[in-house]
Amino acid sequence: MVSEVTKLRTVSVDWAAVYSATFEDLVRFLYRKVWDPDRARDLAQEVFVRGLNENPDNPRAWVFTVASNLARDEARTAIRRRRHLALIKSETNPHARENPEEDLERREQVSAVRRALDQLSERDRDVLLLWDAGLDYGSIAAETGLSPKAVGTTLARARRRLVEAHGKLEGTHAAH
Amino acid sequence: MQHIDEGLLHWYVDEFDGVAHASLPDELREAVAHLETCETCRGRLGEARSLRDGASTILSGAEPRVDTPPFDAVVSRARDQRHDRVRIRWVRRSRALAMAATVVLAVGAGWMLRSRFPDAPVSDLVSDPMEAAQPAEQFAFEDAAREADRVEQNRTQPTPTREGQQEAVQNLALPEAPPAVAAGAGERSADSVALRQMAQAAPETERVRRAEEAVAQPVAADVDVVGAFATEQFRTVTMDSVRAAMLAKAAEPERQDAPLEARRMAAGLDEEPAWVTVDRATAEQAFGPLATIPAATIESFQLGSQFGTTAVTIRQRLGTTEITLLEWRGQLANEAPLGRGLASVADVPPGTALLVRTLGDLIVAVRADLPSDSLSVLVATLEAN
Repeated sequence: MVSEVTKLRTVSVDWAAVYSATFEDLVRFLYRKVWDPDRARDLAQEVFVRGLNENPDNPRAWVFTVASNLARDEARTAIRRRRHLALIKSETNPHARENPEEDLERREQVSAVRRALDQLSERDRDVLLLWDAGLDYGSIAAETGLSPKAVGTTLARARRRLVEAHGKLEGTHAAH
Repeated sequence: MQHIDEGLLHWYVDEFDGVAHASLPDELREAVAHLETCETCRGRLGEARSLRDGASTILSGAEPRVDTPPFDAVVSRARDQRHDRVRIRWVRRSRALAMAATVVLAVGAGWMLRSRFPDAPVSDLVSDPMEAAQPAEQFAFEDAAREADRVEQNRTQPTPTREGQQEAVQNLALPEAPPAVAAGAGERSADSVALRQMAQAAPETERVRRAEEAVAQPVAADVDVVGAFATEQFRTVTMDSVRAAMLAKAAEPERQDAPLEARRMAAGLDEEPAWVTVDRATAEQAFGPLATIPAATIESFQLGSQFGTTAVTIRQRLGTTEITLLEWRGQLANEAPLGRGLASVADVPPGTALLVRTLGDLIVAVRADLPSDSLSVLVATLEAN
């Protein structure tokens, strides 16, 4: 394995260690941006493929920066894809066949989180998701250009809006 | 005294709650000192904690199940991408020429059959010119299947039937067969020559215009593997033709020096191969990163091994359409394992139509019956991905 990695790069970062420590957080982060688990996993791997030739000072922060950019590109593609997928409504889900009630509940839960996150500004959402993915204030500050104090202010605002938006959605759902 | 800034409060809650005073950043030392004397700010501290926990709880409602594949998968993927870049550069060079050559033949043949069978819808008679516009190097296997069909038809049907004409059109629409299966190429009928001549004299029609537009389109400079795959159209083959082609290959004299096992397996297409159903993590551990169609539900992964290569089949579903992706890695002794793999994973009775596309080491076999509009949607979906 070491020889294979050496062929691909001349860098000092131990990407295997970064990968094992970060992959799950990265998939979670990407999932909340692309809302497709397979695509999130695929993009997360692509991030590390690109990393093999890089030598960043803060690999974990670098990984999330690249992931943000890939997710942004993905969102542009998704707009085109949505036009076609609207025609394919009969898409099936194997888990739905096994436990339809649980699947429905899970879908509604994910949908509510997604809609609540959509209520946030892009900056607030990014900062919130980066924090939730495990980045510290210093890394988020470096990624966003904010000061640590401003990261705190942004997080406070994002959390409040998320909780309020989610509460409203839950209330609406309960009323129906 | 002024109360603590909300940003500092959340910074403290998130990273320094309970940390010794000496370890705090300068910005927070004063704030923490204030906390000890201000009941209001202690109350706000509690609110900040519950706000943080509330937001985290909400976000945890949208977490995917994550299996971390081994890091080898990343290294393997990086290596494959390097190989793909080299391959695509080569494909790009020959692509435009192949398009130009095949589009003209397809359009002409279609026009001739249209005039010979005026009541038939065009879609029944000829492949779409866009479909025919494909690079020669990507169709070695499908050409082999068609060549076997064509030889068989010449033997059993001296007078071409309507179906025979359709086969002839498909043959014309394809690039020249590769040397390995071109032994019967000299048998091309006089009808074929006539079709070529009529093709060149084809009048202006909507299809001609579309074909010309297709030829006129420049090849994208940033074409990649997925893009090249997605923009290719599907082509129909039958399991009969696949089996016949592989049996014909096994019998060719130049194949006699192929490994005995390869020839035996090539001739034994009806044997039941060994494919093991596994989960994705296992498949990727054994094989490397797998390409799937994001819009389609994944039904199963199957792992197989042939001639020192590892092959994986992925079954996906779009609505009622079943899609089988076959991926393999490694240098094959000949093309027999490929045919065998396709025949086995397709798992359909002889005569069933399959829509098949290949690109390098990826085969996509779509089990028909598909209405044409569904196929269009599928192709559009692939393009969008």
